[in-house]
Amino acid sequence: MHAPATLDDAAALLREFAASGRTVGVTGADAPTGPAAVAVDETVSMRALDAILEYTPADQIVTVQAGVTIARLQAALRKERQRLALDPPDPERTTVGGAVASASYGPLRTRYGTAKDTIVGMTIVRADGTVARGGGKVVKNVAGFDIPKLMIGTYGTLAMIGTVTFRLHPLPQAVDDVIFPACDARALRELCAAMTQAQLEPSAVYAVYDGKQYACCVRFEGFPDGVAAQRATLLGLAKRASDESHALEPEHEVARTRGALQVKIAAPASLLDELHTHAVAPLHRALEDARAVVYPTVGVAFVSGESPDAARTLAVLEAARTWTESVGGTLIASEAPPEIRGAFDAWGTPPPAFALMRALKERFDPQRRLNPGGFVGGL
Amino acid sequence: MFADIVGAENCITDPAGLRVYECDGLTGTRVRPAAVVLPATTGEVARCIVRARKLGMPIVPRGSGTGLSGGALPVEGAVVIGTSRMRAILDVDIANQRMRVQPGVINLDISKHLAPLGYYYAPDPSSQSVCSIGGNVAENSGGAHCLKYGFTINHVVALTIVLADGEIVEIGSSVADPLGYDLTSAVIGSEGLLGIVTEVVVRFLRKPQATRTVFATFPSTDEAGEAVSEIIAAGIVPAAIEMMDALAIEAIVAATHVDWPLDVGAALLMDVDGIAAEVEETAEAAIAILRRTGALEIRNPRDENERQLMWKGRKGAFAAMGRISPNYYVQDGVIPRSDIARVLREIADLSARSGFRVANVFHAGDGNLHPLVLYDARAGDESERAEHVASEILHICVKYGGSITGEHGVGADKAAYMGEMFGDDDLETMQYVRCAFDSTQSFNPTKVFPAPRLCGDRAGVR
Repeated sequence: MHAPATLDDAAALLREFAASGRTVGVTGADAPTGPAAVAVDETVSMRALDAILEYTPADQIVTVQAGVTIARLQAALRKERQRLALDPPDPERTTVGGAVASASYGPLRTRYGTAKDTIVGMTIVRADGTVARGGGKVVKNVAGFDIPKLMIGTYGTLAMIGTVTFRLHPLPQAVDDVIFPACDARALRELCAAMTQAQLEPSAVYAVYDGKQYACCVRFEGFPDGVAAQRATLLGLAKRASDESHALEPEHEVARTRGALQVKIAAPASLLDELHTHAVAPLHRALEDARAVVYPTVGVAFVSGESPDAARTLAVLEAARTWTESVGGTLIASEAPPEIRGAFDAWGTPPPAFALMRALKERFDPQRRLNPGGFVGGL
Repeated sequence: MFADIVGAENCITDPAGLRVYECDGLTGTRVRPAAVVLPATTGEVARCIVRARKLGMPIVPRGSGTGLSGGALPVEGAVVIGTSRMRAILDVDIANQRMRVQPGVINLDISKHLAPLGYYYAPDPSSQSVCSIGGNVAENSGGAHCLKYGFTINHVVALTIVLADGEIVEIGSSVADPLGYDLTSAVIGSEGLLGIVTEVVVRFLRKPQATRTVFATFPSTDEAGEAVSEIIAAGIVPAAIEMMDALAIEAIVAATHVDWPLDVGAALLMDVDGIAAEVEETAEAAIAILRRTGALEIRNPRDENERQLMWKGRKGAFAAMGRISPNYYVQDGVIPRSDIARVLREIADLSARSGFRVANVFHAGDGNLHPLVLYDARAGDESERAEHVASEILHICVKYGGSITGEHGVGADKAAYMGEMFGDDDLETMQYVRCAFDSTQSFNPTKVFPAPRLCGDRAGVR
């Protein structure tokens, strides 16, 4: 394992590996797991590249090295009453580079979108060891092709992410969670539709499933008057809110991070009932110590647990994927025990534009040395 | 050449007909194309592309032709493929807030179509009543309200694109998190170099509960800039916050029906939108900041009509320059927001030194400047010298760590400046993307990249 101390050192390493034709994987704080963790000759850890390079609060812009953890970045921003509106799970260990390479996100996606909506610039190290820059350090910029956004969610298969420049948001002055302790999928969908109808603007909506019903958290953030008004409107819309503040955050975190099998399903948000019936419920039933959480406004579910019976789990996974892909969605096994991994393609059917993706891989990494086979369709 | 594909009436080859297509919004440079075709379907676009390739003609895509960087400027011998007949709204999915349209659909027509249902499409370039969504995709268009809501790239989720070999490809997805590389992000803002987009799926938004507009005047751009900084520092995210200097106000007042005062140094036009209670709270907080930072006058529009009039004034600012100058050169550059006052002073110095008046009307919230260099094309070499002043302004933007274009694109106009912002390695990396999509470089040659580069060169051992 190599842990370069500077971006130049990292570039020198990649040049050396290019010269000797060795394959390379890049990791954040921990050894990688999941389907992107393929066998490589050399592993480069970004843990020593953990500097916050430039932070201008007045411009709400920060540039960091890829090895900075999300938690440490947020702590630095909090001092200026700002934040990165991106909240992937396990922020203490998740690095900026890891979160960007895997296009990870958390409940704030409801309002603030994904890394694509916050990244304005990036420095990458290409397969040949060349350092290249894209974007800039201003929010608005259309000069040249958007290389930074193309790098998001590429799982280390196109280039090494060296530094990332983000646009930031002010820290909200008020935060309020409204909890609905007992909903089925239909009630969840109707709740979201009612909030849209009432022009409410929750910053996060997520619902934890316990095998019988969902408990839903609606988070409002902003200035005190607006947050209070949104709570009052929501309680007027849906009377079943709980008075007790039953914190769902720990359960959400567990569902997103634990379990030998971790599955993410994306489907049209309007098909939440079907997403529940065809994917979330059967997977939850098939697993031991099962957990599940859905982001109903986004149309995404995460199910995790232990697989007691590989054959049964596989059958359920296949059926869930068949349904999901039939409605234009995707099912990814982001973690899986070996007996599942060997029999079930972690990513699923390559998309219609796969030939273009292969052409990009061919241009960026013609010798196929960057995490080869670590992404959909063997990219 | 193409009449059998699109019909003779949609294939223009006569000099008079071609004249319309010699330039886009960048009117100073003109090149007559060999032909213009106006297909109506994705299939026709594909057949036109295959035919053009067979004839060895470069292909220049064109939307409404409102672009300000010469992105749709023809090249010698080219066929211009225009999307003006592709104006169908194909599907509206209210439950998922997605709409599939053809590329020639006008930006504002999307919001008009959605208005009765209580939804709208957020990106709002000033040209939104005439510019097409396909052109917006090519340029990653912004607008006044992208400060809070983002750009085209944040609101388009899927595309149908025809590639150089005529292949029709679906990229992105209406559903969250499509598998594989984010090709949609690669195509948005690629200025027509990767293919021709023939269908666009946009994400639309619920209208906010409330919108409040505030107009304020200041003794100079210094105080106005200070007000912008303080509003942002207070944690307020206005939907838009626009600045106009004295010269811009003079032109807008001359050209429209706004009754803005002429004896001021600068004005701000701000929208705050969202939850009604929050809009009240933040608008009042912003007004307090405007007062504290030295506002001369603060106006709240009496009704929606007056609000629309104020925005009409702002959005018509470029065209209004015609009232105070025979010609004007529109510049588009970006600087870090905290440097606005310093950069405006440098531009004022440049204006004094060069003798050219420069009007400033811009998106202050995100540091996106639009200096307008006023000149008279009939007077000697003024055109050239005005263009030189405009290019000096770009140098200033780059010096402050900004960008040579915030929303108008590189096109033909700024390709030569790309080398000031990016090194050879950065440009080579962008070229990888181009070559992956179109190794023949048939689409929009001479745009974006400062120097031609073949696609044969691959990354490898150095």
